[in-house]
Amino acid sequence: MPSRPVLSHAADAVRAAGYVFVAGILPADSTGALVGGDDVVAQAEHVFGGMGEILAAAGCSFVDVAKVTVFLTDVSDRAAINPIRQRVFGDARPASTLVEVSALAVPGAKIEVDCVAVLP
Amino acid sequence: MSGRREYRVAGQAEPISHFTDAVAGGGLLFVSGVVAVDENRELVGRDDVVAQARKVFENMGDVLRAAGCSFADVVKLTIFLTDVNDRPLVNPVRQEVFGETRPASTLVEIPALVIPGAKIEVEAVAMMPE
Repeated sequence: MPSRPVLSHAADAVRAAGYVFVAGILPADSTGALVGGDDVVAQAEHVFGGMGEILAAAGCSFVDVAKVTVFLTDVSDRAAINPIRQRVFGDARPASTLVEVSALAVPGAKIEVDCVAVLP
Repeated sequence: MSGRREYRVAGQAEPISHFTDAVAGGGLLFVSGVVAVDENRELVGRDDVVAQARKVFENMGDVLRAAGCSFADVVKLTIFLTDVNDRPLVNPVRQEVFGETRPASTLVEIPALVIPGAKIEVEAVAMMPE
């Protein structure tokens, strides 16, 4: 698994019962420092980049994702990050829920994304 | 892809971002967050959370059926409300649609949903039959 900040008692992902459960990914480097400044698109690029690495380490990829949950501190950022989702998922469309939340665990973070993938 | 299958359900609004109504795989069905909108993505129920909840569960029922499931197959529900005090108002609708079945559930208040005016969004995980 790539080196990622672990803020609490959690792993990057857990494989079980034919699935990979990927923990919520924040725009942070391995020290836990915010990446992307106040740019939600740059933050989202880092988040989905990390998701790709974690999925690959678990033996799957974006096309195997069944469900994604997107947490934004400003729901109006949805449109700004959608092109990244289109690019990384390509022809695959996961089930998805997107909601606004009042705060995330890394100060300044505007986006967190978790997912469940079906192991190929 | 281990039987991964996407469902786009007739009568449901075109997804507002890059996702689909539900994805099955590995024996489970993951249903995207459902809001009270019609097929043209117009809000149904105005500012009445009960009317909105009825539309949400009607839409969810349609998505579940399209995948061969029903409310009795739902194992986990996550409910997002813009006002947590609406919970008792929504509960009779849940009792009505789930009947004897009781899914695991999480309910939280969130500041905003994607659709302006939406007061409730619900996602689900269901077991595929067989």
